[in-house]
Order: sequence, then C-alpha cells, then structure tokens
Amino acid sequence: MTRPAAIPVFDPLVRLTHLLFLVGVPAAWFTRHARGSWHEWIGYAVLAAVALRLLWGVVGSRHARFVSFVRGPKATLRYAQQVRRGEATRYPGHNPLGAWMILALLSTLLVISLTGWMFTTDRWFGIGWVISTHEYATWILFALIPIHVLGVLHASWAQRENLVASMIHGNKPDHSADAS
Amino acid sequence: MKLKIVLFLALITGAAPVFATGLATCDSGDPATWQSKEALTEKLTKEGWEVRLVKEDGGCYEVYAMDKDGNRTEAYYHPVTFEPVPIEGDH
Repeated sequence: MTRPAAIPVFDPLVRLTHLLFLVGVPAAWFTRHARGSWHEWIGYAVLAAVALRLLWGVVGSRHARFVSFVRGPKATLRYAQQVRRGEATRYPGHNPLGAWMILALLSTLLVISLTGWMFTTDRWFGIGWVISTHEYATWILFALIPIHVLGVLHASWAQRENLVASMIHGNKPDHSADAS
Repeated sequence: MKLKIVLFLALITGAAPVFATGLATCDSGDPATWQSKEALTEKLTKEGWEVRLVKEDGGCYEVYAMDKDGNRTEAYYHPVTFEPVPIEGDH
C-alpha cells in the first residue's frame, strides 16, 4: 500500500488564527486578574484574529471559506447520524459538524472579546450585563472547547488521519472518493 | 418577546456568579452585619462618584465607578466600615 499524497487544506492564515486562539485563550484566562494590561492586549489580539478569520471565511482560500464547508441543519443532522453509525463521509476540508463548531467558537470568541473591549470604554465600563456576558460567554467557550477537541479526535480516529497534525502543517492525505 | 428578553437579561445579570478574584480580601465576618450596597453607593455618589456597579469580592465590596474627574475606577471597600481596601500587590 502506498502512502496517500498530501494535499494542502488548511492555509497559513487558517492555521495562524487557530494558533492565536489556542495560545490566546489560556493566556487571557490566566491574566484575567493580573496587574498591568496583559489581559486587554491579549483580548485585542484575539479580537483581531476573529475578525481576520471571519473575513477570510468570505474571501479566503477554498477550504477557509464558510460556503465551502457550512451545511444546513438537515445535511448536518444526516452527517451526525452517519458518524453515529460509523460510516461518515470524509470531507477534505471541515466536516459539517466541525463547521458548526467553528461558527460556535468564533461567535463566542467574538462576544467575549467585544464585551471585554467595551469594558475599557467610558460608555460601557462597570455595566453589569457587559461583565456578565463576558463571563457567561467564557463558560460557554470552556464548554465548547472539550467538545471541539473530542470531535477532532473522533474524526481523526474514524477517518484514519491525524487532524491535529493537519492543523500544524496544513496538509491532509489525499483520498479519492471524498465528498467535496 | 421584548419583556422576555428583558427578564432573561435581568436574570443572567442578577445571577452572575460570585468569584473571588484575589485582588483584595476583607475579614468582614457575617454578611448580616454588613452595610448595604446601596449605602455605599450613596456615600460615594455624595463624594462625586458615578457608581456603576457594586459587587462582592473576597469579602469586600468591589466598586466600578467613574470618579469625580471622570476616570474609570475600580475600588474595594470593607463592607462593615466602608474603609477603602488597597488592592493587593498594587503599591
């Protein structure tokens, strides 16, 4: 059996923004009560990364664009049933469940970083619901992250490929008969 | 629908979990002996502050306010004496 050829899937901007979330989220968490403005600057970096990724999801490379991987609820449910039966279609880019996780993670990060920024302005400083939203959205993020990681591990196992490595070097093994 | 949203927001705002940040701690005993948040708000308002929020943190009252010069200010007060409490590690 020959090793399948590698095809580039995750472009450098996708990987860079992912890396920024991976580093930025724990860094922001551990500096949340620290002296100085580390927490704020990390937050701005994450906000910039979210904005960049959302824009890239419209104008970026093939597998970065949301239209290339986000499916409707029906198709996503059908895919979820395939996964449960252990006969999921392989997608060269993100699979439909991963797609919704990406949207959930990005929108949660957006809410957290926007409310965080609002708190540094005279207009929104000390406003109760701004703090609460910042905190609750953080707990939602911390609930989503383990599901995201489990999903990646499960898909890696089910499709016999290393998706964690793919998010580092950007390539995936080329399988014919993939869904688009 | 609007009412529902307002109720929901009021609920999540009021139910915000109380976590100690470790920025300040007060040996303030039984909360039944504390003065009210409203009393602290009133005191600070008289001193020219625009109090935005009073929370409990580490047995102290944590105040978010605009001070009389319009600066964003976060300050801690002992809930019984209303003495200002310095933020730890901030000298």
